[in-house]
Amino acid sequence: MATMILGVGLIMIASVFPVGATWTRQNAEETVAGFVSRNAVAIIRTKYVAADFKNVSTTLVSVMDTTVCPNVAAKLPFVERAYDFGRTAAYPAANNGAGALYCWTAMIRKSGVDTTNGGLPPGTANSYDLYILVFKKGVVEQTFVASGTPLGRDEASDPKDGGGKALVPYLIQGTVLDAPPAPAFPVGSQAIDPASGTVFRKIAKSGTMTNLNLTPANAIYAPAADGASVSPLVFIYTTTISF
Amino acid sequence: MLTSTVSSRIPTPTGRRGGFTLMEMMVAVSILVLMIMAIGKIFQDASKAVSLSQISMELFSNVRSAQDQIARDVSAIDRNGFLVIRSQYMGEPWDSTTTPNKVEYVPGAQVIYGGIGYVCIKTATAGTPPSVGPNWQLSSNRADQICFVSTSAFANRTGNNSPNPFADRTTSNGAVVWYGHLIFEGTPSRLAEMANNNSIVAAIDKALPLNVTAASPPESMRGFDCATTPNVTPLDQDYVLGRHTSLLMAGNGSVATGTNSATNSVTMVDGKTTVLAFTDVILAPATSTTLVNVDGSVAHITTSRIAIASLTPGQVMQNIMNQVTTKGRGNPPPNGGARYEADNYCYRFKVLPNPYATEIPIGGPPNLVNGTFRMHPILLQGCGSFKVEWTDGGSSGLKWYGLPAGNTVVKGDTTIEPPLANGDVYTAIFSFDNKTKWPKALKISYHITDAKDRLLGGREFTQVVALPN
Repeated sequence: MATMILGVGLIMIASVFPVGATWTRQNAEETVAGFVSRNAVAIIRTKYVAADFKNVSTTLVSVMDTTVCPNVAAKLPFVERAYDFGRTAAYPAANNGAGALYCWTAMIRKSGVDTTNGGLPPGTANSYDLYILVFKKGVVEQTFVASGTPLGRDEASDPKDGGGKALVPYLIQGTVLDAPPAPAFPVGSQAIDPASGTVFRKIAKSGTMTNLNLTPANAIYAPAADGASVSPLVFIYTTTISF
Repeated sequence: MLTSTVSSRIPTPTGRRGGFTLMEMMVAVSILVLMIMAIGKIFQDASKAVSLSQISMELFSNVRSAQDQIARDVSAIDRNGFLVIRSQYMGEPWDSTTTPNKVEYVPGAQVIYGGIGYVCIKTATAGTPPSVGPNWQLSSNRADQICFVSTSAFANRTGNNSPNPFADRTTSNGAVVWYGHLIFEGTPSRLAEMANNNSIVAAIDKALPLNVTAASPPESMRGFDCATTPNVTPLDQDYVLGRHTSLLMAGNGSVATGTNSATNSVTMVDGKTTVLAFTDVILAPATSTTLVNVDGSVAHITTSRIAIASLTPGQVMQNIMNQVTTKGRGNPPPNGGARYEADNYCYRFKVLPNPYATEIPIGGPPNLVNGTFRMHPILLQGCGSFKVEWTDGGSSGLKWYGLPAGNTVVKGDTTIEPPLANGDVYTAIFSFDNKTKWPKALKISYHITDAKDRLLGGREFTQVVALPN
């Protein structure tokens, strides 16, 4: 009996360590993702002008949406969205970023529009809300698809349907409720409300550890990582950019 | 067996309580030992993970601070000024025993001089670059420097012999900002000098809370005597990335606040030159007067920015343009723009041979008011390489210009000046007179290691910073 009690106690103590390790890992990931995000903002500022976003409205849209931001999508190769943290050449990453640990995509919407006059004419100085979404590869051995369909909300089908080979991250717009048939959306996951632009993070209800649903139900989010075929969204960086 | 065991614990008629059998004890002890070993292993692993996470977080924190500082400075670049990127490659051996400023590939050379210190190498053949240690591939072997005029709010501690030198401040809206490695020429004589002169060590210790003793030179400026330490690698040295600012201020030295007045000035150690009190840099004069260090060696003049410290940004620009007309070298530049001699203002970036050379006289009282550590604030420790590249934006993918390792071709639509000194590769100058050639963004890479190399080679960080339009 005593041995059993001791064993249970040890197991409980030992179970604390993985939790701490997970928090530490998440902390490190978010820190690196912060570096990646600021680089992303600088790259966007460097490459684009207001005219490249002239079709962007107050609705959140992926910068890789070829119908809304054709110039952006055409001039933003994957290698410029990859960051190979831990390697000598972090950016631009080697091999077109195929082996990079981190990559990003972005969403944008117009802000600061003078609505009383119907908005500023395209091409003039405008202010945009910019969301940088940073993903980390599910497992190190994975290889990002460096060509083909670009990243973004509309850029890839479910990688799980691709035989686990299309390991690019992807975004979904829809419900994030836990109840079936909605996909599981674990604690810690993040999403953006396309209407308000608010970034949400799913948290655990204290005590019961029951997942709280994100609100609103309709959000832009990345599916949960399964560690093998999906790269998790680890960070959403929000800023305002003006041209 | 069970029956026997249970029955043995039943009090006997004599009142004596039964004990455990030897087998029970052995089993229990064995289980206990296994549990202790298991939990010990867990704690060991957890301790290792905690240690790594701590050093990672510390490293991340330092890098983030540096990145924020760089981003603030670069985002306020003034294109009416200049942007100079000077590339140095830590592959040039320099034999300190020969004539200074002369590159020689000496058989068996022990020194690599590239701007950031003193590195031992194992072999070198006359006329050919030396081979390098196995850890060199961990860094880019670059010790670049970058300098530009930035318009923002720059605070400056003021005055000479102020009772509150770190409290008295004034603010300028413009500055010449410099980033690069701080160096310590760890010549054996210099190390011995430090080791034998407690006043210097004490002064440094007082200036910065480093754990400095006579037997242990400043950790952040460590140099090696290659004769006794033949296999030093870059990881063994604790390179320091520094940042300093020369404020651009109007007037003749007056300061708005603080206990010091316009009449205060600092006399340089050569006894000839005075420096206006409000500058936080102790530099050579604007003329080409040779400055002699307290140890008798020729000082590596830093930037010669004393003159501009008393000028407005507009006056600085005017002076540069005056130099174009009065001191032009006469050789047309590749891109047809003005080629000016900018020694006094733009790119004479030699950092001091050691951080206290002009400020702490041997055997004398240290002058810490305009102390050298204020002159060269430490931005990042353990910074093994510092590489700056630039881009013009590009029509599709970004092209980053600069010198890739092993490549001597520098690209980009800018003015490239020839090397200025030993260890230099090129100096790229973007100036006020041709703003269209300015880059759209800079890519700044640095390799950071922790002091004990617990991260096994450190980490490479790359920062992209967009220049203001």
